[in-house]
Amino acid sequence: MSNLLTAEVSDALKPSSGSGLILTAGNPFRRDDGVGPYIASRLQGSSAKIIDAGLTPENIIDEVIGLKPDRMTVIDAADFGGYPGEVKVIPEDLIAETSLSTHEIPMNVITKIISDGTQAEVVFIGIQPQTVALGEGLSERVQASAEAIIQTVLQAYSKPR
Amino acid sequence: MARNIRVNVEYLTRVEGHGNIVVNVKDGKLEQCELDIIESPRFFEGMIRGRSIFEAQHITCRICGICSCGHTLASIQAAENAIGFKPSRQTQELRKLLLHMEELDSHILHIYLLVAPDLLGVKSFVPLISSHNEVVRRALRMKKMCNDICDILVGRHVHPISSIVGGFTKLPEEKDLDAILEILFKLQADMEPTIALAATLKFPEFERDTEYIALVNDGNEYPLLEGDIGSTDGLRVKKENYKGVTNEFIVPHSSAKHTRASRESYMVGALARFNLNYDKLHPKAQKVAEHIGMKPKVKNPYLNTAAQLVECVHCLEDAIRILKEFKETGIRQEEAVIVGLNEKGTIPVRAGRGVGAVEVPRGILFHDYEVDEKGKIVNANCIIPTGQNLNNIEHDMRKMVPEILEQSDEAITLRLEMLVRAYDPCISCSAHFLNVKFVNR
Repeated sequence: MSNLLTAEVSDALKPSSGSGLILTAGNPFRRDDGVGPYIASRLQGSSAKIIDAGLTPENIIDEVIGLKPDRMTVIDAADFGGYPGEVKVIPEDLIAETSLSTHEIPMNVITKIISDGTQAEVVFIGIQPQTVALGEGLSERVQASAEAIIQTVLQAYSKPR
Repeated sequence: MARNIRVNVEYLTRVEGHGNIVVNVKDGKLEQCELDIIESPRFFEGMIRGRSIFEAQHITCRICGICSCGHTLASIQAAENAIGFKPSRQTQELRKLLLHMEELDSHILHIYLLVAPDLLGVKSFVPLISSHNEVVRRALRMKKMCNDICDILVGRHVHPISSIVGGFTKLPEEKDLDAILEILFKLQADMEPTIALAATLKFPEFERDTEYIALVNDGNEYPLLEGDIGSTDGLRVKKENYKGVTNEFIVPHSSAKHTRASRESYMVGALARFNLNYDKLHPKAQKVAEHIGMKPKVKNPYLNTAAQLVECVHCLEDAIRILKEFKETGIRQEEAVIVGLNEKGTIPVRAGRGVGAVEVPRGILFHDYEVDEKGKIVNANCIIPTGQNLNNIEHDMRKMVPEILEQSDEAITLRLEMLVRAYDPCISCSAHFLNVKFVNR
């Protein structure tokens, strides 16, 4: 277990007993907001089932429901007032309800549609960004946390289940 | 007994951007009734000054994530008009297809996610996730299908890449046409339950006669991409003379300008188009209008949502027509153009002024560019549909509030919020906008 990650986070990254999947989201052109897609790109080819929703999480709903996951671990940049790169399991009721418009559908709304359609358990893992300014590349601390998450997932999924 | 009412909605939900509704009734007399627009101006017109007209569409489409295709098309149209470039029929048909997908995408989300909760008596669409899971999924599935077609057609879900001044950098191949047509048939299957659901929705009763403005033409086509500016008051002007229609003016409570044409205010959008161009709708769309009891001239702004449903059917059926025609004629791949910033002079450029007037989901959108002999923008003006509707919304509110004074503050607030939502406003795009402030009644 990486010392950058709490036991709670590491547990949330372990495979579920059934068909769990990891869902990431974010914008790679807004610096640390791209941490989710970065993690997804690094985990492609591993035995972890991973879907990157990018900027349009509403567009992956039917695909995810079709996979009938028993657990869905959402990894996304989240401003919870922590230190840059801090990784936390965030209770669903604390995910901000941003104003719904035709322009933006909040992530917790997307996961509710999926969990109501599948009864899947949903776990949110938030990574505190240092910057979400326009630009590419993660900040040093967020990069380190991303690497810790990637290694934890790779190790957890390499073990016989 | 004469009442005092103070309505102060300081953050209207289920609209894009921020605005407030302020209503003040004193001793039963309406003293103040305003839609405060508190978004900051965006300065896009300033941003594109000095830039090439060949990149303007990539910048101005960022004005809006929902109407990005509409802004792209208005920008391209203005640019092509300015330099005297005439697009081919194939290019225009592909542009219409792109616009149809945007109308459909935007209307579906507005009908299902933003308006239906009011009509079903819930605060947002979130409770519908549990009570109407399949309905919510259908809405998002339809949205995704529209996005997927845009992806095939112009390289991305939003903010088109391949649609440029001069045509398209990449044209759909036979397999792409098959893929688009397959998606359109799936959309057709989802449209039936959409119509059935919408037909059960009961819209509030309210009427105010206003001027409706939209593109018009002398042909048989429902005008979305091309046409003159027309109104139900008999106005008809060339798009280049749009300023004589919009007559923008400033009000103290709004960072977005207001507009008026032949009378105190006018309305743009799906209902305006329906009222002006009903005869040109696809027969299946007309049938849906008949089914839900709509016939022009409809004066109830809440029925803008119903007009959007009618347009969904039109856009879908016309998109299928376009695809079937392309399946027969094929796509002329030799029309693909690589222009970049026109460094190689692929497209002849001249100094001039051009106006793009395109019917986007919320109404008529204007882009007006003046370019120099090298194709650099020296002056730009963009007038967004929501900005044109703000004044009309306020006049609706002023007529409606005295009519519903006997209702509770909560009921009045809801009716006002629903009214604003019926216009499907895109406030940040217009600020060049929602909270309701009741101040006394």
